[in-house]
Amino acid sequence: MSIDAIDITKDFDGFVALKSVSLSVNRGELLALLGPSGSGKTTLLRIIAGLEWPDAGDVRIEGKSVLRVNARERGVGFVFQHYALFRHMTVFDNVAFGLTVRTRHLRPSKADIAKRVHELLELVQIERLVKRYPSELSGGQRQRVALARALAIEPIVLLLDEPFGALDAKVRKELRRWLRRLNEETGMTSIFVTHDQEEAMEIADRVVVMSQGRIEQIGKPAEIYENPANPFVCEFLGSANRIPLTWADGKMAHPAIDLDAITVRPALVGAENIYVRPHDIDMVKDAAGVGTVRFLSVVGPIARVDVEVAGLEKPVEVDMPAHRLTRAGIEVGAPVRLTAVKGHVY
Amino acid sequence: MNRDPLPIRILLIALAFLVMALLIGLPLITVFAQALSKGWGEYVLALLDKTTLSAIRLTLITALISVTVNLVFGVMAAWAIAKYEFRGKSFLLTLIDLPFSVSPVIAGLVFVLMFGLQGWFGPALQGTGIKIIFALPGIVLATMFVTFPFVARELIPLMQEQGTEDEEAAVSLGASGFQTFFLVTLPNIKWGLVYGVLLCNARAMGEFGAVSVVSGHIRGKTNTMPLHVEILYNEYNFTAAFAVASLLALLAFVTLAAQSLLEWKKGHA
Ligand SMILES: Nc1ncnc2c1ncn2[C@@H]1O[C@H](COP(=O)(O)OP(=O)(O)O)[C@@H](O)[C@H]1O
Ligand SMILES: [Mg+2]
Repeated sequence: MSIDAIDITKDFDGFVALKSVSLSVNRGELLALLGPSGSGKTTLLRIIAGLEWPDAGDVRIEGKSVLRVNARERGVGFVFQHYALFRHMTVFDNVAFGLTVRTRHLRPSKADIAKRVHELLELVQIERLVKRYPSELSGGQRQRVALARALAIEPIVLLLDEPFGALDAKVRKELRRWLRRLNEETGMTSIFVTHDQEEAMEIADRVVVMSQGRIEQIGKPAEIYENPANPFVCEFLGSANRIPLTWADGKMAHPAIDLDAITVRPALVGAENIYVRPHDIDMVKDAAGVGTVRFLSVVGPIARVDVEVAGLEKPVEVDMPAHRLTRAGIEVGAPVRLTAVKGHVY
Repeated sequence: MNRDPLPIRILLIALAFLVMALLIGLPLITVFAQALSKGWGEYVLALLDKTTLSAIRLTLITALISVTVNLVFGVMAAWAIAKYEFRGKSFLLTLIDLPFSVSPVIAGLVFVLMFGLQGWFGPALQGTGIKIIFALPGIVLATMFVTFPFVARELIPLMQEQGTEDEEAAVSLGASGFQTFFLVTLPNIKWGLVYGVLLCNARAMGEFGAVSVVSGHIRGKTNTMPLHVEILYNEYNFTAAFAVASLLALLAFVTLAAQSLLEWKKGHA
């Protein structure tokens, strides 16, 4: 089902958590709401689910306004950040809950409920835990129960609030791929909240970047990574070195870093800064270079280097393949020359 | 934690036991010793006295009504405070605590002032023939007032800690308000609730001051067990007084045992 949030504003006693937020989710899409803590992601998700009401704006599912439909009837599957499993119920009863509370003429028979629960537990790969209580499960297992429970009601859309936030790295990767597959197989429109850009980039069809109650940018992962709309998005999607610019004859320059390889649109001439990602900087050893290597960390294939440059407050971060670093003979204290090959000008 | 030298630890623990034995154990033993001083026969006879039986019945009825009402209102108040945000919340909390800080005698007097013959509603009530003061309704009201905080106070921190996510999950899965309350909220607060009810009940049955003011001490009619004990005692009928008192003491034991059982169960849940 398609979801439209139109000009949503939410005010918590004078604190505006959402400021005129608009968002369209296509049928079958897997959408990520990405932003730092406190940016309003959860609030937006809860408004779509009917757990919170906006002060202004509209929520439409398949084009129909659902603001008059409460959470109980909205048919939205919601997975809570801390799972919110019913602690006094077994895994089976948790997953069956949405079916057992139906009115009699809509409720499946006991046998059908049991069958459905087992199918769902199979889907999330925890059939053997059916008799356990939530307190007897690991974080990843609890998350799977929460997913199965939300799916049991055959929701029209699936909303997940930081579904993998509390899990360790390995389980997290596994579960997010699982979510991607689920979305592909069922075609269920899904929105998940995350503050982890890697997670959003890896599995989402489109990413919505939020900050301070506003949407900063919406786009496909590659799109927003290649063309971040503003410095906030640029810095949030990964580290970037901010380098102040000087301009002469419509060409930008920095006294210590070579920027000649980068061309900018005429509209951006005169901009204040260029943001350059660590891996978009070339570094060579050069006795005449104005940079000095201050810190060096080589773990795995990529070397992380901090270069002190006169005129810049913070050292410039440079990432380069470890083998090239060794070959170039770059070590702490070495003088280097920096060339930026790509950057975002604002 | 365990750095104190052994003798000091032993001394402190022994002291604690000694104080407990003197302050609590000894009086309890005295109660039972006095009650049984003339043998089991007298003891049973004293309990089977008509006015005693009536006092027991009145206490049970009073406790049943006030505990039930406080259970319902306590859950409602705790729910409102723990799960909603509203202005005047801290004022409501203070109100709930009020019975703890007001002397029970004052509580009783307030009801006399309101419903007594010379009270605000006295004349109006007289016309209808409904008796509140010196009758069961007054006793129940006074008891309810004194015991109100027990259930609410037990539940508020518990519900606050649990938040509203479980309820939201239930609703988003299609549960009605009733289903959410009975299938999710109630089981979550079950132990706290039982605990609160136990304490509430013990206090309701044992309340003296507030009830004494509103009861009128009509023998065989408006005497609860604690009041009956006093009357018997003042009549130098010690065996009977202590016999009834022993029942109240027994209630304390039962409550205590149930509490320990709950603690143990919670620990093993
Ligand atoms: N019920 C509430 N009452 C008051 N403020 C709230 C409430 N819910 C959220 N907020 C505030 O709104 C802002 C956005 O919150 P939230 O949507 O939870 O952000 P996120 O999920 O992106 O971390 C936060 O500053 C938070 O403190
Ligand atoms: Mg959040």
